[in-house]
Amino acid sequence: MDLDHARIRVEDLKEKPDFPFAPLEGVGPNLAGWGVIETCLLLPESVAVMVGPSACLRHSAFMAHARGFTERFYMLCLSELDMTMGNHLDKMEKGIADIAARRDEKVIFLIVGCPDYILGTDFTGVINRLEASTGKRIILGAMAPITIGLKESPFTSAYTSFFDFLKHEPRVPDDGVVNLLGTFMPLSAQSELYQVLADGGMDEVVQIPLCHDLKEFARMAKGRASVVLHPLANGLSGKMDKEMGIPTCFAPTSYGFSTIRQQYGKIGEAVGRSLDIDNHEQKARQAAEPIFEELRGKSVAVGCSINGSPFELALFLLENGLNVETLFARGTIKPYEWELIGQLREQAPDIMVYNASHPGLCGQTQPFDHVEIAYGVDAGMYCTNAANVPLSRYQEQKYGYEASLWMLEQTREAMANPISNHDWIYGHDFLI
Amino acid sequence: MKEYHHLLPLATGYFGVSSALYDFEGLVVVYGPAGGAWHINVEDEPRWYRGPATVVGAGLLEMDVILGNDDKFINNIVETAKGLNRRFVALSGTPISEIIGTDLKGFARTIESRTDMPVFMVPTAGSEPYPEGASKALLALADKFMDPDAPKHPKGINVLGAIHLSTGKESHLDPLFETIASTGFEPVGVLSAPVPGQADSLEGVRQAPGAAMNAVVSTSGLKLAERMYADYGIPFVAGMPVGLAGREAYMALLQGEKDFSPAKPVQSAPYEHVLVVGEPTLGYGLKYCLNHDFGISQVNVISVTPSDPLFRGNEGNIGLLAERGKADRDTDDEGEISKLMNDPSVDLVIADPCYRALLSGSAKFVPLPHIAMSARIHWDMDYEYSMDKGHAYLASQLLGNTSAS
Repeated sequence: MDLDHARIRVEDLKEKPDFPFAPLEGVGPNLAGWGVIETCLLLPESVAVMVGPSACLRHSAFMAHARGFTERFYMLCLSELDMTMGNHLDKMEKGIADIAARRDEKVIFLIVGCPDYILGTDFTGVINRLEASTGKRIILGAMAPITIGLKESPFTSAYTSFFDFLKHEPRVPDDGVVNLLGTFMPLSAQSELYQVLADGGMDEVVQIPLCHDLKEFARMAKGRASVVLHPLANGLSGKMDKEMGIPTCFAPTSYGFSTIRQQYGKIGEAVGRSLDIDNHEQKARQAAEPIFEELRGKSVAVGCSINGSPFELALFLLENGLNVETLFARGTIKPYEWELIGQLREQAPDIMVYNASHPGLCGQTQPFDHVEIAYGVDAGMYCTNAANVPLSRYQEQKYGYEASLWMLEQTREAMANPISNHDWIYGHDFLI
Repeated sequence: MKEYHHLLPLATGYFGVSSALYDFEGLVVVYGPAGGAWHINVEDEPRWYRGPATVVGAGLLEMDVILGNDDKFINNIVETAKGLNRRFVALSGTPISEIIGTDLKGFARTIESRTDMPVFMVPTAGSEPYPEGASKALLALADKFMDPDAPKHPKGINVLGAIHLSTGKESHLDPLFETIASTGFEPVGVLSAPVPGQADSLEGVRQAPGAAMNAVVSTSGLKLAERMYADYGIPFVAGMPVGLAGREAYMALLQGEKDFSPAKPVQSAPYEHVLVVGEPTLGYGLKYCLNHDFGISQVNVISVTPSDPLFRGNEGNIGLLAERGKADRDTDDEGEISKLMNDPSVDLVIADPCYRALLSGSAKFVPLPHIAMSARIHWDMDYEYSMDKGHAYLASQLLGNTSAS
């Protein structure tokens, strides 16, 4: 299959239908992260029970185990026949009741798969009875890839469902509290964001990965504003804004100095304070320059498994003299990324954008043999000779200028002491 | 209803299809939503890394299921199959195709007529044990490619059921092939992998009907062995020879000796009650080895996939290296296996490393990866089971020996 089927010049990538169509799912390394189970289990005091055919459960189990959620993740195996006949509801109810009796957690996520989604199974009665008999909140969610692209994703739905544990909290704003949403890992302890906010009089950042219980999570109701780092959290922050009056801004993890300045501008607007970042930016620019000097002219590929947007990182690298030639992306380009693509069109129209899940791309590594640095484990898989810099959201959650410098230091480290793409994928679980 | 907490649910039907067909340069289409094929490749197929598109997903979406859209997917498969120039196309069912009743057989006929490629479907869903999917895939492969008029090889032998989900890396079977060769047999076909040295990956499948014997090394190969006996009169031996006594017994079975009796144990291991958890063919091979190489009399086999096919005693089976005991049982239920492993009388457990999480008692745990359980996680682990190498591995674990006997 001609590789041309799997790629497009960025100059020609103007809207979603332009993106190369994959007739079948070619199993590229393109789905890293944000599984429904790991999203649900971000909520403290919760367990997840997934029900469905063994095949579907096995897939999710790998993700749950890789992320260290084994203790809080249960699976109930059901046959297709039982599901089709509706015989599974009684079994499921009994199974969940048994699990509930053994656990102290207050919340149970009941996660169903594509079969129940397609069959339109009504879980209302089961959930009502279970809530009455166990005294726990049961939240229905779906691990249903069959819904991709049609409506709010199951991941977003799961994250948005956390609103149930906020909506009854009294809205008593605390000027010192800011909510951080859309992170899987806690923000790094030395993050400049803490300092920037503290300088503006906000000394408490509430972030879900650090909430030990629902009481801590409920402090989000006091937040003067929410900062969203990943689009996954836009549903939750939107509800918090609309129904609780907590202002929100979408300021995703970025790497470019100008973009970061824009993000801080949005944050300042949301919190109603002018944030002083000049010193942070100046220091970052000084620290970055010698690293850029080492990297200028290097051939680069950027993949979509990085934390942040590959288009945004590509822009930053281009602006600083690196030779970005190749991007690996998915068909689910986020709305905010089209503006970044527009800027790339202007600056480097010849960049090739590949559909990372196109079957014609599988096994093709020779076209990328010249690439020297590959960002993301997906890019690293195709660029066999490149130093692979994962920038995985499972490594560390950096933000602001700290993220830029971390990216550059990781690049220097990868070039000096390379870790193979295979090790990143299979030794560190950065693909699952 | 089975509940899992600490463990992974075992691989199921379409994983078995993938495992059986992966090495034949075909295109296996998992007919379901996105993600199914992705996970097989990334987690269960260590052969996937940087390889060509072999197991791909249809990527069904909600409206496709509601509206059918069969034409669209047939077109997509035709386009991909033609573009990738693979040797054949196999369509494998998933829970969704099972529930909505997709006519995959009709798909296969249509795609075959539009591509001039061999195309077949394998009726799988998502709850059946993986050997069932592998078994169906091997039968479909045989139907499509075996040559009934293949030349006869009086000393030719096929190895059936050597799928990676059951037997792991191909190198684990090297001692088996060496022993088979030492008895004068020559491999004709290895159904689930090309025969080493043959340029055409499917040549072994075509020539398989010419063999004089089939060696079945996992339950996935039993149905094909029975079919080949019915169609071509080829008898078969079933079992996975583990250790020194296993090798001798297996050689005797291949040579048709009826009254073979194993030698007395050469070593005595300080264990009295062993639990072996895993694939049944290997499980019973381990039992034989522990009985006769290490003098352990009480060995119970817990088969996590159905063992019945081994013991149904069908025509054509001229030798079986497995003996079912009263306490042996079939279950993959986490709770039940946990109870059995923690029985105070059990002092040794041999199982995939994932099962260690269930062990709370003092029994020694010997890891022996079952790829259908732990997939890539323990793929590269240093372990052996077959013949002399298997004996050496067990001796190192049970007795602290580091050299083969």
